[in-house]
Amino acid sequence: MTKILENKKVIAILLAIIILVGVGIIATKGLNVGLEYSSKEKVEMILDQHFESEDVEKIAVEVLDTKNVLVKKVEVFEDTVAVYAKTISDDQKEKLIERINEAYGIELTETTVEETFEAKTRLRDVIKVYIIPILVTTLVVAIYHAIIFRKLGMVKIMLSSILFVVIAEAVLISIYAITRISVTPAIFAVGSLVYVGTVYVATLIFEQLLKMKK
Amino acid sequence: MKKIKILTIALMSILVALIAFGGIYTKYLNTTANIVKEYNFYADLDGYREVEYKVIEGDENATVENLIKTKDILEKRLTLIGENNYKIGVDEKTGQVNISLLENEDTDKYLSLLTQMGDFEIIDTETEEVLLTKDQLATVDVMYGSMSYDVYYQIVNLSLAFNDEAISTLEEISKTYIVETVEIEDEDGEIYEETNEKTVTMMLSGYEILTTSFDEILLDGVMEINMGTATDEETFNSILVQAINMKTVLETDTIPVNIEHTQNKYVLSSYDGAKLINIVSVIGLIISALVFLVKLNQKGVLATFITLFTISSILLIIKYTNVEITLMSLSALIAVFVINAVITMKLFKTNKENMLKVFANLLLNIMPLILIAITFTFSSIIGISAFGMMLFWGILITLVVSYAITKNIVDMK
Repeated sequence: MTKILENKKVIAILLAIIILVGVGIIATKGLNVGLEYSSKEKVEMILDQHFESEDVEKIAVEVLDTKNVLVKKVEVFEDTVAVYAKTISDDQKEKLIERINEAYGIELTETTVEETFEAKTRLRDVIKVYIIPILVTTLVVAIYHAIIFRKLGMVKIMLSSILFVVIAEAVLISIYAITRISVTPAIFAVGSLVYVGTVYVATLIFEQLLKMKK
Repeated sequence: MKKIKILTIALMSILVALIAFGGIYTKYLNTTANIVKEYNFYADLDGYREVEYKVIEGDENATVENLIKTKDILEKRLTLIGENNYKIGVDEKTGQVNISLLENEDTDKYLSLLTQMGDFEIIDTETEEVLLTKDQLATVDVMYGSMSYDVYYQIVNLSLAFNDEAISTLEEISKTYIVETVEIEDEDGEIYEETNEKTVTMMLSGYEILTTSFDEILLDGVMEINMGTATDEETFNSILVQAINMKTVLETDTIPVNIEHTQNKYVLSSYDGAKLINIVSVIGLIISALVFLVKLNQKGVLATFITLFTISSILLIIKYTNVEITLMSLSALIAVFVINAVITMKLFKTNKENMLKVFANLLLNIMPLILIAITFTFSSIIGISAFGMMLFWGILITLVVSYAITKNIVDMK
């Protein structure tokens, strides 16, 4: 903690650069939205037998020539597979059916395979439900920090506590934007981990500042 | 004595880990079955309902603006019925709406609610003249109570309160359509009573929901519709859900485009929940063991066993408390590993005299995380509440194990 406090200016500049670059990329190129949230095409095939999603995924990745593929089992009997990709051309669909027929010894044809389109989900619609719980929790934590570390100045600590969380989450989103990592449902898992980590580090920093003041 | 204690801890940790990760198998009919409860996975690690709606071809109202409005209305309806765990997407070019919902006994009821256009009118049954519309509605409430005559029954009413401008209109309507009993004399001079009943019909989404007349003049602008009576809990709940659905449709705008239901499927998650939780646990244990061995040397072995016991206990408690496991729960488990490592190392590095002071300081530092766990637990967003619950149980068990076991071990030094 002492090292963090000693190098706070360097850390602040570094974080500001990451956030600025991230904001710039988001404003111009946006985030790299993963298949779960983007518009996609889906080919649904009844295999009529038990299968492993990983095996179908291998075939789909090969045929569709992209790693950006999602494979899901459909309905409770788990004998139907849905392959999702950004686009699936007629040729690719034909090849996919051919390879699936070979692998599972079935005789699917283009007419027995269902092809549909799935609309995109806007990220802001997904994120908005998380805003209130996070705001409330951040406020509760900030009040706790302000009470425990009141000797450092209640308002200052409360604002710092909130600012820590905002900066940490902004840095996370910026890293997603800069590195072009796909935004998938896992971002919320990563985001919550960063949130908890930030609150813990903030507590340690405040504790250290209090010790230094004493 | 010390060796026996350490050996007991090691054996106990291995036993609990075997139960948590492997299970307990007993003979069941002609096979063996695991009697340890399975994890309760949430939609992102289990499966969900995927529904597709399309705008009916040739609908001139299918503009981008109306499609976005449709999406907003569907979202508002889902929120009003308390269903916050959904994913909705709209394609402005094709007019297609995709919704992913949790799969449970209410999913079909929610879906029927979503497809309703939601236009509401009160019309004259005979002439079909429109008397009141949805725009004149102020609030809608579901009311229920119980009554007992010969049998005990519960009654569900829908209370429609009209806005100030419509109060007088409703009063006039109730005067016009009131049940009147008039005495009529026939050709033989006999007098008989005839009920002169002019009725109104309530139309919801183009369907007739009720044809009725009024028993009294409505002066306060409030009209009550009886949704049904029930003598058993199941029927009562079904009527109640119907009433809540109708309230939701009435409280949200009318869907501006004609949509039809084109697909409705149960889709399994692309993640294997049990596999993921085992991977996170094993990697967490390996990293913890390495850190403990480097930082605590020989004592690191004991710290690893304690961590194994802690994590295995958490996983068992998560199973038996029916905590829903989501992708976010896995990140809470990672956080628990870190918290456990910090607490274990601090306690192992301290001496007997300072033990309580160090423990109190650790508790103070972890308190914000406990606050996060508690506030998250009360969220209606399952991802957040699942994270909160995993964090809560994780911290609680870590603290209990640290106090009961780690502290005792360190005391033995």
